[in-house]
Amino acid sequence: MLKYVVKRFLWVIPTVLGVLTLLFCLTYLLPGDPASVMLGPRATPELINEISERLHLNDPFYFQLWYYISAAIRFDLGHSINSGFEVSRLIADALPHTVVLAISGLGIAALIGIITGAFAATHRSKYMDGMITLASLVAVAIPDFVAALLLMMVFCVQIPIFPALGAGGDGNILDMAWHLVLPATALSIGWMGYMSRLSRESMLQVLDSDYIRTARAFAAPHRFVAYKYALKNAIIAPITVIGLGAGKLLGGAVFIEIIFNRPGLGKLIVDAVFARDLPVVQGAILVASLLFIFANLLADISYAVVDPRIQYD
Amino acid sequence: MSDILLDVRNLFVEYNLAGKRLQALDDVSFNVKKGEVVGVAGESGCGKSTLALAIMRLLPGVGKIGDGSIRFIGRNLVKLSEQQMDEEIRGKQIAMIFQNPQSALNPVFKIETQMIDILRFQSQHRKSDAKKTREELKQQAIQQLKETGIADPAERISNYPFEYSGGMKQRVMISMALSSKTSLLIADEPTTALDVTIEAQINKLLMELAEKYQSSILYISHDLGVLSEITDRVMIMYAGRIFETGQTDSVFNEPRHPYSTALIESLPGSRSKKRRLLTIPGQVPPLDQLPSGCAFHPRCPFAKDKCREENPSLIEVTPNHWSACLLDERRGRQRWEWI
Amino acid sequence: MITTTFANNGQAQKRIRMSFRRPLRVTLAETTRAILRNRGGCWIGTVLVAMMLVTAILGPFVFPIDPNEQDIVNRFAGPSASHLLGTDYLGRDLLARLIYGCRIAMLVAFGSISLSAIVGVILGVSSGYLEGSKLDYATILIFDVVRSFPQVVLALAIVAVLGCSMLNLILALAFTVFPFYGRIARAQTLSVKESDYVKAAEVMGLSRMKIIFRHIVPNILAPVIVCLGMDLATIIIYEAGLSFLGLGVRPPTASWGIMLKNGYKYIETAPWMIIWPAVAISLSMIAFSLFSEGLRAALDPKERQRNV
Repeated sequence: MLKYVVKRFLWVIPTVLGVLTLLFCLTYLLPGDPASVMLGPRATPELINEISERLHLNDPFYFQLWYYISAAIRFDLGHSINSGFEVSRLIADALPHTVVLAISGLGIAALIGIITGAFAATHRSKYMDGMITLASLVAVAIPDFVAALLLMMVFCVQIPIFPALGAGGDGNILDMAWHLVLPATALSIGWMGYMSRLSRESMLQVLDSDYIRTARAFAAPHRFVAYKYALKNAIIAPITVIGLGAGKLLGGAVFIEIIFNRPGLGKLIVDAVFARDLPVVQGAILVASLLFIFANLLADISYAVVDPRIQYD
Repeated sequence: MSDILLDVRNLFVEYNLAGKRLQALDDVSFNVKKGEVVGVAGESGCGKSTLALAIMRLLPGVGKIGDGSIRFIGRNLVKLSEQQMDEEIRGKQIAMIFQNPQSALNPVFKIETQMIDILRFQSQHRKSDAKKTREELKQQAIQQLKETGIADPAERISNYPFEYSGGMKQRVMISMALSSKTSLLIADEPTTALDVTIEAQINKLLMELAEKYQSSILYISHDLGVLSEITDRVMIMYAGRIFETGQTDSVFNEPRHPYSTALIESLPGSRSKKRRLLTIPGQVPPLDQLPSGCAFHPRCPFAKDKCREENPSLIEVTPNHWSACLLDERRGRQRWEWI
Repeated sequence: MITTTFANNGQAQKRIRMSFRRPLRVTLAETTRAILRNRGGCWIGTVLVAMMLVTAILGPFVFPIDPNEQDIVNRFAGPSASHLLGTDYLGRDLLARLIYGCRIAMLVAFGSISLSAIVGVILGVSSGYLEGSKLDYATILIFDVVRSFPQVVLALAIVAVLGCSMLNLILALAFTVFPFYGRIARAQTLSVKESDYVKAAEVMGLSRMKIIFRHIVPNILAPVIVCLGMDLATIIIYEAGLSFLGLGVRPPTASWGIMLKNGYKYIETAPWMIIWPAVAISLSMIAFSLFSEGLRAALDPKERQRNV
């Protein structure tokens, strides 16, 4: 098992390097001169030259790449053009909000999704099964920002229950949680539907299997069969997919944060894109993909934990 | 009469698949006595497995027991509730081992966990067994593994199923099945999925343990060779019906039904080397296209008109030897010559 | 498939050529036949998708109202006889904007998916065929790197760099998706290249290019086609999302995403502005999901595909 984890970890390194390179290329290809953009209309040729030297803008591609990567490794992501703050600080402020949002969304989706799916599989009454399947189809069909808009329309405007904007008062956990309800729900709906269907199919397949038949032949009680025995097998499929879900939800969080005006990585990126604040864009995207890589890593490892066969691959 | 363990009378089982009603078992009657090994022979699709599942009341959702009775030590299993089946019969008085050991064990739990769970199920309704601790049950499981010939049982019990070979997994199944000293063990093609060398070992193990625990065995197989060696009595099924049944020696040496005759003669080596291997023309009819009358008549070279009209029932052609052929008469020896 | 030895070269060649010609035709014929036979209930999905295509292609020609025509007097109107679905904040007809938005959605979806599928399959097949080589490792690395970005974020960044237009949107979305096709194509190639007919072609001395294009590609298309169906749906969503953020298609072009963006501003006064595009997006997602589900059921009835 340890060997697998180590191998998996090691593959992350070239990936991260590739990510850094790609990000750098994106900005390198940006048309126009970064120095003059930074300085604005008051730029004189001498000033431009000075800044260009300082930022190594005249050096060959490889040098610039090297400076960028070595700086990034030291967590030095530059400074925001607009606000002057350190990019890493801006990200550090924004990151927890996004992570909390994504994890809540994922948690809600996984919990409700797996439970409803397993429920639909074990209670084969046409009514329940049909309802849950229909609900999950609809849930998958609605994209997260659409769901967010609809939820906002219904629960903030028409029937004012939840607050529409912001992340809640500082320090007041309850207020923050209250502000989290609608965004997290909106984020989780699409994924919830998918998890439900996956869990249902997986459970059905497991319930049909030979080893469940063996258990029944030895008089395993019905409830035991469903909830202890079969579930551990059925859960494998949904869990392997959670890493994928983390990525999707991170992307979806961007929209949710904009719509609900919550602070977070997504809002940071979008605002920076509109403001042409390149260092912030670069830094924030880098952190977003690092999160994503990390989530996938966790998912792969958890897969190995749940299914003992995998370690021996 | 008191030594009859299992008495199946006029059992009908049907499957409802995609709107079609398939008769999987058609008026099946037989019995198993204490300490006997009874074989069930037949080709794929003849209803052998359905019979086994019906006795255990483990038919898949589309299957239903239509009519008939399955008496086990005086009680009619068809009439028992699920709970009663669980509490008293399954894994306790009647146990079953299945065809494919590779998939019979849950791949994500250790052998240890699964065996202990089963031991718990087996003892939970017996008031005599006091509540045992996990450690005690584990020791019991290790003992059982040792009994079935698994080396290093104390170590290997912590393995996962994928670390066991097919033969070893089947041994685990056998140890769990015969652990509670069941009266009847149903073995559904236990060695079909195993190598030939392992097959012999497993069958030998089965016979030894059955004798030791005085259990009867209902051995289902399509391998006539194995059946001829280990069974006391045997019955031959076709399209959900029993065509012939009786003492194994009698059935194999002097088969009375055209189908049984052909089956036995089609074994390589049973005819002189000069003659071609016998094959039965045609194919086993699918359950939704069963012929009228005798199910075998379209393939039977000896069929007469009445075979198409009347469904034959079992008649005792020699003492303790029944055959279901309309053309068989009680007088003397009659053999069907297949060319 | 090919059991004869190469005794008579001419005859063997002919036989081989015949069995090779089947794969490409078979895949396409199989697909259409499977759809027509309605295996797995893919009729509904196919019909819905067809309806959407018709709307996208013919709608703008047939529908009389101009989506950009403003009617300030009647702004924020609900459904009425003259404006079947109501109007937006500038009095523009919502139904017209919905129909033109359908065209945008289809254009972006088919454009980016075709581009990324072609690039992805070519890369994936090449890398799969040359398994273990440096090219293979490099390609896998590229796939993994691109896949390490959340799709939305990457598309965002690319559009930010390239500028806001439909073409750039198509390029950006294609870039985020091509690794998935690459991986599928590669995995399939790895299994297909051990087949008899590929080995026979190699023995016969066919050039690598010919082998790849004539023999391998047609046989790996099945899962790619299934993936296409689903991705068409997700691309429509991303287009709407990016346009919603203001980073997609440029206004005043009518895109569903832009309609949502406008609706968001007036969420308290005009629910219709949000509801119709929301319904359109969800319906298109359902349509493509059903379509690709049906395709999947139709194309591999027996095979089960686990995580690729």
